[in-house]
Amino acid sequence: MKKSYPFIICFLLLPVAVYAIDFSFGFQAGLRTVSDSAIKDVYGNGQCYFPYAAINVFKGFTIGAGYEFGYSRSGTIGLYEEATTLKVTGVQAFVGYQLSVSMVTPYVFVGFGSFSYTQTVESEAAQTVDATKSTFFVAGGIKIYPMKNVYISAEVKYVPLKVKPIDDEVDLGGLRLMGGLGFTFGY
Amino acid sequence: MKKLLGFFLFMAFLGSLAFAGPWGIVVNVSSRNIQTIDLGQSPPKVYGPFLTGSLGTSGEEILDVAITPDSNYALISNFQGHKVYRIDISDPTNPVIAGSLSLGSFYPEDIAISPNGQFAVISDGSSNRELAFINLSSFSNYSLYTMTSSNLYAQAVAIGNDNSTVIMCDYYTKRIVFGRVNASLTGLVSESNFPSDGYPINISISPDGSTVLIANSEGSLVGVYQIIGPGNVVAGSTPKVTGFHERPQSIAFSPDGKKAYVVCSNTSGSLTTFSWLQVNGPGNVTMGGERVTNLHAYTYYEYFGIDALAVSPAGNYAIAGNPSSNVDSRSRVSLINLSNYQATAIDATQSDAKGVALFNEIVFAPTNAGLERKTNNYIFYKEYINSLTWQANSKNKSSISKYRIFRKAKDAADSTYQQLTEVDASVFQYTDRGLKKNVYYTYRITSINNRGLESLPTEIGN
Repeated sequence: MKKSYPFIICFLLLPVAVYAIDFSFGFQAGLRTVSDSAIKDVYGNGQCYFPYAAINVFKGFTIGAGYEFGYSRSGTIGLYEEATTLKVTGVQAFVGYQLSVSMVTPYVFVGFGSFSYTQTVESEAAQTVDATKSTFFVAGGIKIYPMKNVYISAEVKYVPLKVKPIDDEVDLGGLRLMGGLGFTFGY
Repeated sequence: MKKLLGFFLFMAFLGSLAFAGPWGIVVNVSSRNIQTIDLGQSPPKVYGPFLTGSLGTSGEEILDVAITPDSNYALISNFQGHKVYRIDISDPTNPVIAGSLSLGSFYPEDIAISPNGQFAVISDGSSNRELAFINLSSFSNYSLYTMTSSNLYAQAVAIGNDNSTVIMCDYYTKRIVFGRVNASLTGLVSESNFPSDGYPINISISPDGSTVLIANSEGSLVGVYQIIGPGNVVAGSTPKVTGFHERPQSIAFSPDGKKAYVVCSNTSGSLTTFSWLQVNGPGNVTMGGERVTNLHAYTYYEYFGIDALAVSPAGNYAIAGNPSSNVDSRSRVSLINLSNYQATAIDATQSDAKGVALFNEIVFAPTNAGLERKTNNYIFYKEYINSLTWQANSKNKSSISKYRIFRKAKDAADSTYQQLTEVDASVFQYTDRGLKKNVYYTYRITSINNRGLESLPTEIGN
């Protein structure tokens, strides 16, 4: 079901695309920080990647969707320093506004994402954590168009993500500091 | 209060050990070696002979055997060698000498060990009017006590369960001698005596310490006496049991003290006989069944003081050696079923087996068990851990091969204990992982020796 989210979102955006001014496709990569000190101690910050598609529907108002992946960190955990891996992915939809000023376009987004996270520990005494939680997030950045249909972007995104799959609440949220490359196709 | 505390300490001691077996030990007089018998097997399995050539030289005889209360040692008397040997029997399949004491010109015969295991008293079977007192905590020296009663000797000796009353008998003067052990455990105070009806040669005291039976050989009777206080002995309300066709030589009580069994020798070289007595109360004993079976020992005159009969701790059977000074090649140690008085020969035993004793091989539980509750943080949840530790029990003389760990929910019935695991004897900790918050357990740890005998458990819980 989780893997079908991008297709569902694209399907929902299809009627809007009929009236779109232009389309954008992009790919971002960068640093994903973690807020929780325990998570940071064991797994640390990591990389994340974010391919996305967006549609400028009306005078700078934009909607889009993307899939965040790449945060998969390993470490040792607990009294016995057992090997562990934490993986977080997220399907995201967002709406925002971008202001075109010559070749520089600043933008802000708010979005809603469904984040899946999996923790495994190499121990018979441990259980696998595999759960999903949805949350709002905010992002802001700039696009710079060195060419007419090509832009490079820099973005800061903050995702608050407090989860409690079993006993203890854990903050899986954090900042994404990403840069990327995108293409715009207008009518 | 002190007695109460002592009782609880004693129960705690008992709680840390387990009995297996029992085992028998027999002393082969003229071949100067010993054999052990695993009576837990059917038929009983005989080990040895052991220590041949180590318990004396040619012409010497080893006579009596007595077992320390912890079942770790046997004391054996060498009459002509003037020695007492201490044998480590904690591994009954491999007894080893753990010291010996040379007693000068003393002729050790009958050995009595105090129920608390602190000291032993040994009679002189010759013409010395002395008793040897040995402090068993060290087994490094002895004290000779010269009897104050004029012209008396002591061939047989016994110690009451008060650890104080010592009773002796003198065949030659036909007298019973008794007294109280002094504070330094080196002699007697308030020694006294009275005449015996016949020729007393051996003594047995009931488990409750109240009734004394004395085998009276040439009188063919058993004298009955009563201990009424430390070192204070009087004639029983039934002063003697008569009706024996042969000569009583050894007597042993049943563990509950309600019966006593008697081995009788004879002067015709025929089979030893076995009888039983009914103990009606302190100092009150009557004949139960005379000559209920023949034993597999051909006798001809009886030894003084040698305990040739022993009853198993469970009271279901007894073993008997040959109580005679005669060695008949047909003689063997007898196993007597006390429920039907059937006696069978233990074939692998030797014909010169005289003194016998029974003991339980003991495996002690591990000591200093500890439990620490730990929390293992997996960030999304916590794992709770019970970390068990323990130590080897230094009292175990046999080789411990492993430890066994059991668990039950806290406050659950003991019947719900389930075995978790076994760990090697070199391991002294176990980690019970994957536990839930607010779920607690109680654990039992047992020692298993190299023959698979398991100790009673030591218990610890959250």
